[in-house]
Amino acid sequence: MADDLTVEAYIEHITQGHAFNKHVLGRDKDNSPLKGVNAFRTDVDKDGNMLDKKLFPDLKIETPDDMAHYIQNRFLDHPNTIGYVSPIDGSVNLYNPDDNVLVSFSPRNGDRDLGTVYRYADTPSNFANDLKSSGSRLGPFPFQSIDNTSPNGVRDAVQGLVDDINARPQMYLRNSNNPNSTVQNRVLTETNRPGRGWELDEVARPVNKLQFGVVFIYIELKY
Amino acid sequence: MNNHDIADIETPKITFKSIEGDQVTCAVSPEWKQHLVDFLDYAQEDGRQDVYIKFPEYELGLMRDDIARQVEGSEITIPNYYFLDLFSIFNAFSHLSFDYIVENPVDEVYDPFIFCRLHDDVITITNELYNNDFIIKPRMPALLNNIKLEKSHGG
Repeated sequence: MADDLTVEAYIEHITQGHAFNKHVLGRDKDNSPLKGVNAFRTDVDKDGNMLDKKLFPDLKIETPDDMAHYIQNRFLDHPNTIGYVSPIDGSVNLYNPDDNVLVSFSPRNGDRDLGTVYRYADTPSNFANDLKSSGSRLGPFPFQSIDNTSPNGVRDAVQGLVDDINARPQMYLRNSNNPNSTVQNRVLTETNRPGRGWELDEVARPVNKLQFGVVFIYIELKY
Repeated sequence: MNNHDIADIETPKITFKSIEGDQVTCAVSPEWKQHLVDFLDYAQEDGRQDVYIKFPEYELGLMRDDIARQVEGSEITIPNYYFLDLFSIFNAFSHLSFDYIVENPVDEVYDPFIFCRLHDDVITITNELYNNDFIIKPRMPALLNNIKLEKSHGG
């Protein structure tokens, strides 16, 4: 039996999925302009064209941990982060225009990663379109706008989704015929984290965090 | 890959006819209805990570099957929100290029002519239905312009 899901664990799960492979390691589609480049660091696209620095500020994301720290420590609480709850699937979709980063928490969509993090040159219009179409679309979930005009507005929206997943795990099954296919089991169990126990997680115990100008050097001792 | 009559492909293939309640009727040939079904199959396979983030798998499958059931005849009648959903799916592909890949397509799976034609027709009808001024560029002009460039360079 898995423990309750947390926002931190959910973020870590997303950042270790295709979001990292595709958008940091650059394993994007052949016809993507950002194939082969780190979208969170690069100055140029795959053809060597300079990217707009307003759309692609260097976020210094190189690892899944970096991405998780970015979301936890900057993105969620940033005053300009906005978003919406999708009426189709109840997913929480967030966008920060200052960093041009989109983060999606989508536990029902059939994707094993349960969400994504990305940015392209057209992400501003891409998000604006999704916001408009979601606002016009009726569905089983009420459309809801999200922002940080009230303190913790964005964080509370993500926490609300996580609380609902914990309260009604059977409503978020990845396979409706398998009662064990819960988000909690997908994210938290050892089965889906081969070779890694939750207590050893490096995101829960960040190792590469800069604080007050001091670099904490992590040395893992194995007995 | 470039087996299309350019004049023909410039002509919209899905056009709005009428709306009654929330049901929209469009003129579209069986061939292009099948292209739409094939596109949704493509979206479910090759677009998995791009599309499913915003659009759940079961919803996409329901829409695909609903369109496939009407593949015969010269019209199709579907709920108006299907156009929002089709728009969202095309929007999920918005960063990918299908516009200049005619003779040597980067995406080996999908015919850029069909992709761009469906893309532009869906955008046009969605904007007509919702008057929302969605920000997404049509793809056919860039595709056709690149064909002209290829021809002018002897390609």
